[in-house]
Amino acid sequence: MIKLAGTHLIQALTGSRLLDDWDEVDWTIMIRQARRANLISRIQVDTTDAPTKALMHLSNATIVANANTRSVKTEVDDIHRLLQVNNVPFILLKGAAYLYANLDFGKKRVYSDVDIMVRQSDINKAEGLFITNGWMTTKLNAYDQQYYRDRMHELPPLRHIKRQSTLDVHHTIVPPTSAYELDVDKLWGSCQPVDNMEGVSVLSPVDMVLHSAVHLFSDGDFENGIRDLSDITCMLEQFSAENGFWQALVARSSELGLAMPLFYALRYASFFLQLSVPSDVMSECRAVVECGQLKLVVMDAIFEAGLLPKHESCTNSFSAIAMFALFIRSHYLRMPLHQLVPHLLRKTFQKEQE
Amino acid sequence: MTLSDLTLLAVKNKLSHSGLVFKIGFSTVCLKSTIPGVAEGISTFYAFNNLVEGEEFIDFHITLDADFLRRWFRPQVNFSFDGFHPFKPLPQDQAFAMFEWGFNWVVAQHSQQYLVIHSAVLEKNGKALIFPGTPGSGKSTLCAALTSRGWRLLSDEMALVEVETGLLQPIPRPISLKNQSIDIIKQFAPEFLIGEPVEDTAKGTVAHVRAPESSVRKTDEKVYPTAVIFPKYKKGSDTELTAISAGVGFMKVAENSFNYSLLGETGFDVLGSMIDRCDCYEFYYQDLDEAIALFDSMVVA
Repeated sequence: MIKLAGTHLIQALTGSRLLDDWDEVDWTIMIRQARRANLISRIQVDTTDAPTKALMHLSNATIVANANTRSVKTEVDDIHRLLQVNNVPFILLKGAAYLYANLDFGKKRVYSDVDIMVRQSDINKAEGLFITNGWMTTKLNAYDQQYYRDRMHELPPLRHIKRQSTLDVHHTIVPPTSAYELDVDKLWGSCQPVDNMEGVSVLSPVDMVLHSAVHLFSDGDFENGIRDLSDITCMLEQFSAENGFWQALVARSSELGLAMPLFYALRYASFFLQLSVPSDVMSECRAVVECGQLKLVVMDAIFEAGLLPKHESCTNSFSAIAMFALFIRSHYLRMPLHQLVPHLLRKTFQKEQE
Repeated sequence: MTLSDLTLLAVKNKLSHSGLVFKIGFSTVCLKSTIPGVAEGISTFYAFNNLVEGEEFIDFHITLDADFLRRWFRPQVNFSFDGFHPFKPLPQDQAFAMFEWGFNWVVAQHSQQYLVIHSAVLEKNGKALIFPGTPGSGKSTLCAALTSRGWRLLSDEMALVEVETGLLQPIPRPISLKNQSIDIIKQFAPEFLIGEPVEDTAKGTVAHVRAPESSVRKTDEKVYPTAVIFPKYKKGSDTELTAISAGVGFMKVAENSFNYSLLGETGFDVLGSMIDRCDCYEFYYQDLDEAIALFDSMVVA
């Protein structure tokens, strides 16, 4: 099995001294892996020996990320104008939240969509406002529409007719059918207002970390796995400068029932991206999660393969098995078996029809 | 060493193993494919491009392949770039055309060191003309005609204006002719090497013209633009060149640029100094000889 830590991408992300010995072939591999992992705009190298062309591709990626940041801000302004006059407060989630929470890495990231959360009681009103103001729903098939509405924590994605941008409107952060029993009011209770934007907030630092963790380690979407783990790592590096942050994070994870995803996030962020987590925090997390040694060995192998960039230089036959395992696991976590089996059968059949 | 120094078999071998590594414009490309026709297309149309033999940094890795079943059953071709598949598969006889379209996409997406403008670019006597063009404007026809009459081809598809210097980076590649213009150019320039027309593509019938060796050899010779000309083929029209204001020219070029707004303030500055240096015109034409005579007179040494 290919080791994630040994990949060129991870070495570049963690600022390994090995970069000093790289030749042009190594730089080529790193740029390719970074492109595929959607992480190229986050690579910062301080070696002067890098080939000019590699540096050029890195600086191009920064230009693209800056442009992307500008367009996300335009989208958020547009959404804000629409929702504020109609008295619908909202919380920015994921990528857009990193920008508005002034996280350093927020600008070194490319966003494919904007995610917001409104209160459950506002969701129909918000959807109506979007539909009548240039956004349209993307899942047109009746089953998919119903599936989102009954079982998901968000509306079917909306797409702007002119700009082609995508918007996900959530009412909570985990599927209501999942085993997590998360009280969304607690998130609203501690969210933090964004300066000069009335009605717009971001999650509190601890909640932001927990949301990213549950998204990565339960949703089964590992397409951008290492990018998402890097987001979590950067967030934790910045937030943990605050006194008492780690203790608050662990306490909040128990309170919201998100100890399991937090455990995995801390484990792999420290394994692969050299995040330093206080050892008592790590063992406290481990204690809450029912995870035997054998299960952990299996999970480590599967997650490591899931986190590898989906690039030909990193994948092997185990990758496909691991991705399938993660897919099954995410669905298992998303809904009970009596709902899951008919759903998967239906989706398989639907795919063949297309 | 150029691709023409390799036998077709050697090209096939490289394509199906470690990849064929060669230069296109400013970039080093590694192409892999086992799809029938790709080796023939590449070795014909990129015959004069330099091969890369040592181990150097490679900008773009491209693969043209097909799913197992689709190699035989209604054969298809898939374009991939570092694991991304930006396009839906196409019928296999469009494999070479797909490389061309896919490569346009790759350059447009990954070349922010240039302001990239959708246009043909030609040069004579050190003076380069930019012909931005929407489909149907007759840009490629005009481009092929000028190329056949001693103009240097910098590109049929995109002007690369270097952000740092304002110079145009040549990227000479096959000229892509569509529909009626294929026969027009076959008659106008019988010496051209033109590939078999491929029918029923998204752009109608398409045939490629090989870029002349003299143009490909001068890939590293950058040049400043001197005029921006918006061509429009119009049946029955006289040859008519009308000056337009710098402001209008600026806006029209911005509309034809792939990354003007992506570059932000830099895009504004680069385009501004380009327009300062160029005269802008609208151009109606029907007769190619008249058009060429007019542009020849614009660039008299």
